[in-house]
Amino acid sequence: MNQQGAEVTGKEGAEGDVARMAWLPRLVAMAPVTVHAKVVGAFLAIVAVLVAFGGLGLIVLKESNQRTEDFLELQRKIAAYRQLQHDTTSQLYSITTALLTPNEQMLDSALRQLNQYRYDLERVQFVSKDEAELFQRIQTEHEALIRVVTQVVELTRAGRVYDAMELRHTQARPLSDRLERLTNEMVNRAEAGIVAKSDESHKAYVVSQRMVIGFGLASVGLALLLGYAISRSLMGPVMRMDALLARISLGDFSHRIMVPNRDELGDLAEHLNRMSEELVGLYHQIERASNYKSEFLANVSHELRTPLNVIIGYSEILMEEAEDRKADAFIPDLKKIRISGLHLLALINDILDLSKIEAGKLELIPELFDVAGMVHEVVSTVEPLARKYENSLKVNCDENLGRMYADQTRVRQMLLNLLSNACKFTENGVVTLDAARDAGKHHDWLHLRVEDTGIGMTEGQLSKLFRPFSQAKTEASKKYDGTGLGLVITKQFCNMMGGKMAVASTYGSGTTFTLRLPMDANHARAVKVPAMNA
Amino acid sequence: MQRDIFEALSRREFMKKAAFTGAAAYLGLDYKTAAAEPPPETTTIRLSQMKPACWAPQYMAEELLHQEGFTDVQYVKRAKGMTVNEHLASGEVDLSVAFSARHLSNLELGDIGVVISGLHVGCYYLLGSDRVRSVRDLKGKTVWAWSTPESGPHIFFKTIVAYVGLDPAKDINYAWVPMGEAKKLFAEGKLDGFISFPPAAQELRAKNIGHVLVNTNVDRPWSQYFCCMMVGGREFIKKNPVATKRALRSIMRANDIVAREPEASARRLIEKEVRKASEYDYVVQSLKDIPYEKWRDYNPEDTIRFYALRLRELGIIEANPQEIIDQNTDWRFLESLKKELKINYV
Repeated sequence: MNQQGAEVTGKEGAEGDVARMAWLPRLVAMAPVTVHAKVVGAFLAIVAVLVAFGGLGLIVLKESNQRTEDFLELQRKIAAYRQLQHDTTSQLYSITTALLTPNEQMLDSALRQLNQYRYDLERVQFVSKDEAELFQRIQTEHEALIRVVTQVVELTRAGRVYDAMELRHTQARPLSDRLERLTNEMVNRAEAGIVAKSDESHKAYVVSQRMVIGFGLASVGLALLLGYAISRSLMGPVMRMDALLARISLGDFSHRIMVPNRDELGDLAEHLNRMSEELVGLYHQIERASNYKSEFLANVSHELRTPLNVIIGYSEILMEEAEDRKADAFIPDLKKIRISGLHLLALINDILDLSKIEAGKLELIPELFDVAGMVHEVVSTVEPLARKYENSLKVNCDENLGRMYADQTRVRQMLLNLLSNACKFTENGVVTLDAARDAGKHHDWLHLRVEDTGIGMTEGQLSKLFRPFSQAKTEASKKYDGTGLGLVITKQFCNMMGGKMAVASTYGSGTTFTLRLPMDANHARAVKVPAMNA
Repeated sequence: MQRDIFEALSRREFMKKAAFTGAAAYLGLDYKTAAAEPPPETTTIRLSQMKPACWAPQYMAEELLHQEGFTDVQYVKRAKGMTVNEHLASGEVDLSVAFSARHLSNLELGDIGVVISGLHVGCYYLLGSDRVRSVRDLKGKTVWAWSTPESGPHIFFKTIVAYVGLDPAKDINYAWVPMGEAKKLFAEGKLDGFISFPPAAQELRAKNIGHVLVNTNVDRPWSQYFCCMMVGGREFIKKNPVATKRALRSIMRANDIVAREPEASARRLIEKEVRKASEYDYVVQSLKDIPYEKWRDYNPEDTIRFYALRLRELGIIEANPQEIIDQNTDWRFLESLKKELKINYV
């Protein structure tokens, strides 16, 4: 890959364009990798963000799940502690009952309660593995309580109820109270644990919320940023190259572009600049060749016209003499010589006009003239031709068209070309001429419309209509007269006058030509004459 | 009679009485242990002087504090409306007794003092009129829960009713009147609930006004936790660890003195102008009601945990219990006194 355009010769300031490019697109453009790699890289970056987002989401879910498990664990602890607390109270109650009603049944009940104690304790031991110290204290207190309860039962069985009551009051009750506080402490710890977990859960929710928003914004931001950077780094050079090609297509080879890309676009820009440089040389060569050709044609035409006029003139003299001498047998041949000479002269004149136009040497000479008069004059000229092909020539011309400031000769030539063509390519038909004046914003327009009911043209023929000698290449040229340059010249004149020419045709039904010319040449905007083979 | 008792009180007589009933052993003072410790960093100790009669141990500790090396023991009166926390934060006092729930409720207001020990178990009474049989019956009734909503009794009342599912803000009507007027209204049957720390509740009970809905001395779960606790100024504790330990030892031992000598303790409160001489009988009754001797069996950390849970349920605080314990308690002094004072917990 090469960095493009060290040498800039254009007027637009290619360096300025590059400098105006934002730093990120410029950075992306200067990355020495292919466009494909850049696009894939951008996608991978976004995918990486999304994968990271998904990964963190899974971690959050896992933590959330763990917290739920912890909640359940704490609930189990609380249930076990409460059961222990309840049974402690029950134990004290059963002892009190046994002391009040000292029979075997009650005493057995009090002793059986001790088994329940042990079972509760085992449960607490199971659920509170992480609180070994506290459990140890509970266990110690429980063992003490079991001993005291056993003693109370034994004293009661021995009939020493008073001693049993004293033992209950002085030892069992305080032990029971302490156990209650211990289990309370365990419950409170578990509840505090739940609260702490709840706080953690809330914090995690807040973090998750921020994370989701953050990642969402980051993903969107990254996508936009990368999209912007890559599109700008790609589209910027493409648009500049497009602009350069547009200028080249208009014949302006003076510009160069500079793109910072070190990818395929950089190479392409370099090739375009090189191509433009090559085209400059070629253009100059072609221009010189065209000038030589035009000059040659002008010279040749001029040199040909002189002897040709002599030939035509002598053919006419010879025809007159043949008529005078009644030598009728020579007249058809002499006519053929004269007609051929006139055709050749018309062809040479057309070529001369065309070469002058292309060489930029043809100048329009505007003058004020009456449009309606000019129209009638042209119509009268073409009437014989219309009759020859048995066409009806209809003219719709407003007598108040007024005066026009333009090159009358060329306007007349254009109208004559159109009417002549219409008459030649129509047999037993109708040729209609409409001449009207259209009001414009800045100046008025002359609107000429020539419609025939002749043979019409195919789309292929229409596309080649304004190419020089195009008629000569068709079958029509064999049947109809014409140099094949008339429409080309008409179009060129129209452009030079700042007008517009349009054609519509249906094969087999006829053709319509329209000419729109400014009434005042001072306001006309001439269009650059395209090359002959354009 | 009250006058005679008051006149009979003096520091000299108290020490004489103490000597008669067992001198140092009676006071729980281990001179060997105290002598083995370094002297306190400061010989001045300032304690917050406040109204509750249940705070008697800190007044009864005066002589013990002298024995611990404090030559200047001051009881600094707190300005009206000032909280214990503010009193500590002002630097006017070094240690103070504080009601646990009230103290924790200040947590959101900033740096609260550090809890270093429990002092005694429940001292509050919630009395009800004939129209209420239980705490839940207070729903829709008018209650006197102190004269200001920020007060300790009011916060405690809210925890009591919230514990049985009432919404203290919506379910209860409050009479925001001074205590004297509240007693009158309650006696007249115009109030259905009355909460107070000693000796107001004892006075009402002695006059057979109302009946006990909650006695935090005996009713669970309140009886399972410390009511008032010892709090120290953060800076004082940090700079004077030996003094803190010596002061704490004195006050905790004074607990035992109050338990054994409620009458002498009541007289000390009157001497210190904490309570009026006319309240003597009610104060004595209050001090007898409170099981001061049980302080060794209770875990102060679990008290903090319990009240933190209750206050959080109420929405008064946002911190979780463990955070509060981690940041606002310091059991080092109690821990170091564990064997010496025969403490069952911590």
